[in-house]
Amino acid sequence: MDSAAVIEVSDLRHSYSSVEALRGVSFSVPKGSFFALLGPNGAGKTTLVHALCTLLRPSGGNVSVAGLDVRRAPRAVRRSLGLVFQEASLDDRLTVFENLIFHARIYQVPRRDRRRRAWEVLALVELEQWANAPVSDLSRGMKRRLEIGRAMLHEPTLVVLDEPTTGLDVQSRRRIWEYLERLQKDHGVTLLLTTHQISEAEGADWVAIIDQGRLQALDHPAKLRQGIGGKLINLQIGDDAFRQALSNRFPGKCKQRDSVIQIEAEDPEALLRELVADEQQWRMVDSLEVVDPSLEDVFINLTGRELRDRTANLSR
Amino acid sequence: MTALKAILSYMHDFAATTHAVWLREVLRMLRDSGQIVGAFSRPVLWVMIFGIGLTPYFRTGLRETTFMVPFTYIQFILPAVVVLNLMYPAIQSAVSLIWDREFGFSREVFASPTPRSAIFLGKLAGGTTIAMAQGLLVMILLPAANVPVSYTSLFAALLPMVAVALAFTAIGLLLASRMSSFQGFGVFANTLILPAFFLASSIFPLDPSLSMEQALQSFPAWLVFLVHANPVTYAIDELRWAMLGYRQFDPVTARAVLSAFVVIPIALAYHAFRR
Amino acid sequence: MRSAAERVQRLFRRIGRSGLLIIAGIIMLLVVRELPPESSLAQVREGGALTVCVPPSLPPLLTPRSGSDQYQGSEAELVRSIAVEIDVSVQWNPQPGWGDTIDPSDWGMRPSACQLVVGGIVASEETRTLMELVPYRTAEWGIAGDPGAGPTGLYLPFWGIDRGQAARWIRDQGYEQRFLFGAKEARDALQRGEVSAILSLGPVARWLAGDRQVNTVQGLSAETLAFATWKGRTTINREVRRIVPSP
Repeated sequence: MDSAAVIEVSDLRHSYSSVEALRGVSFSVPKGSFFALLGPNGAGKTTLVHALCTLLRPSGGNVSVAGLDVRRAPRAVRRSLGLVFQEASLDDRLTVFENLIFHARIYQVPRRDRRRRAWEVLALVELEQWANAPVSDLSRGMKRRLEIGRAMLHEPTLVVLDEPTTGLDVQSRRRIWEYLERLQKDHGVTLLLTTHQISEAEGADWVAIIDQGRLQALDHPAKLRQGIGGKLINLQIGDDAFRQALSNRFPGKCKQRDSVIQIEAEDPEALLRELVADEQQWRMVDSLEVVDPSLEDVFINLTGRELRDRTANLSR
Repeated sequence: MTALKAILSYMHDFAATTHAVWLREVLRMLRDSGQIVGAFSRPVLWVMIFGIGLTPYFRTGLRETTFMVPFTYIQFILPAVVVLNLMYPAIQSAVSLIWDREFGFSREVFASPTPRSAIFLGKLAGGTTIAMAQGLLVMILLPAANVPVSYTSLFAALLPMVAVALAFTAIGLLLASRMSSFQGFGVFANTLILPAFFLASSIFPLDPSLSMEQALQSFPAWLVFLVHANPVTYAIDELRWAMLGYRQFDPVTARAVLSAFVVIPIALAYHAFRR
Repeated sequence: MRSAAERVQRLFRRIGRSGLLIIAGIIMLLVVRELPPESSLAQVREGGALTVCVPPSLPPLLTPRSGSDQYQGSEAELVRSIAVEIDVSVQWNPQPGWGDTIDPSDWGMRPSACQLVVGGIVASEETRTLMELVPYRTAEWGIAGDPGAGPTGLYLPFWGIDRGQAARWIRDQGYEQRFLFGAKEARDALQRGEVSAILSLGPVARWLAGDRQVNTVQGLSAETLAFATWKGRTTINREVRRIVPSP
């Protein structure tokens, strides 16, 4: 891990009454990186993010953001954070511009910079034409874009996004991805993103997988995928018996869903040659694809089953 | 030196936040057509319709009423209508607190580096401003009641008006801090406003120059008690004094009650706001 | 042409619906407040006559003309000029009980009898609370005759005047006080020398004095004489107030 870390989390714990939401999570987020937090609902993602944003006081452990301790300097921490949360937090009755100026004021942007910055972020998310429109006129995707722009308004070190593309159509999602990329590349902003849409995390620099309050894995996505080893063969086979037979042939490496059986294969070519050799068997295969394991697979691997001899890179 | 700078910068941020929150409240209200319609229709309804309608039944000759209230009915209730037009918007403004919570805007505010007290102050100032604007609207109807308008009387009226506006905004904020639904808040607010208004020697005079026995000849004991215990009674009395030069209650008591009526709700609301 | 329409449209959009509502609301309030709250002035116009309640006689302000139901005097003239402005005639309703007792509600004067009440009414707490006043002049206190030689009379047929204050002043001067009632009786008393002087208000004092001297009293502040309308009769009150110049 790099030395310049924007976020340092060390042995973070938190419980809500009797429920332990976080059981000692530690990691650090390097400056300028795109860091993705993956995990199912109830894994502790939200708790972790809230602790980072000083919206929650953790029961134990330390968190520091941009070198500031969240317990000791919460206001300064907030000043260096830009937040985009799942539920929209815009004022429908005000115009786009008014929302931005409000934000600028409460985030202590100096007066002479407010209007200029507002126009700059509007340009960034391509909403200049809507500056004087009431926010209620905007579509969901546009509102989300506005929130991203707003999060950048006070030039934060870190932008935290909690499921930012939930409920958006594909086009909006793609557009938002462009903006986020631009933010990171052109403006050097560190992005921390939580999601349970694994495809979003594919482009990240770092992926952390959280489950049951613990950090299950933390690495570059490519390395995580490689950790699974080999490739995956997806076979669509209508015949239940044949599928079962295959499953028995490759114990522990098969997963089934509906009529698709997925086989992990270190050497996919060898396996396929075997299959093709037997023409009778081959005819029962409706379709076939060979894919690289995705993060989805990594995830299922880690959280659906017990970790065996996989080396999960825990932080540092 | 740095300590001074830190304090100054804190004060500057505080002022900027208070201003931002205040401005937002005012802008939101200006865009709420329902509020605007209510603000204008209330004085017309109470002064022009209710006031004029009942005036013939009150002092017209030299001895038509038992109470020596030296004004026509419409003159008598005009200060009360001002207070009514202060109470409604003041309490209603606090509903923005629930709205923010429901629709997520409160996260934007509370996740920011602003001090909580600045947010509270901004909301308090916003509600008071809106209420004052609506209260002053009623003054437009002063000539209709043949109440002489002078700069001094308007100026003197401002203080009790601001007190009422502050007190009820604070009460609204106190309610809203503890309620989570719009309906609950609405019901509570309306249940509070009208009784507080009616039991304030507002639309029927309760002449305290009469002794208890005399008052009890006309009104039941519980009513007399409630009117005397209601802080709005004293607020309206102060306002009548400023606008008409007529008062029914002792000024020292009235001012003491009014001051407490401002300070206590604000303190309670602030406490509840901090959650 | 088109740019003007565009500008108007842009103005509307900037103000917004709420802005228009506010403007409409203010206009509505301004209009509504001009609505007549009652019909006293309309009744006067419709009836063709301004009904006036007056004391039977209060020279020199109101002197009945013998043989008719008309009045003369300074206040009578003013009343006539008001009626002329409204374009109606004057109907005088003398109130025989006027001034009989301290409590005006015992004088038997009813609102149904008149729209205007006139007769040496002095603006004071009492009259302000009972009626709606229209001041028309100030009047200094005056002493007719030469006080000191004998008792000083008080002739104060004015509704709302503070008789106690006047009596106190006389006593403070060291004079002997004597209350006088009735205009003729008061003047005769002065003629006959039963009283050496009479304390009253300006024009009445001058009438009592005849060709004697009248001295302004410094120790008592000037009073304001007024006409009155019944409380609640805003339209006739406003009209009279408009016509009569304030002192």
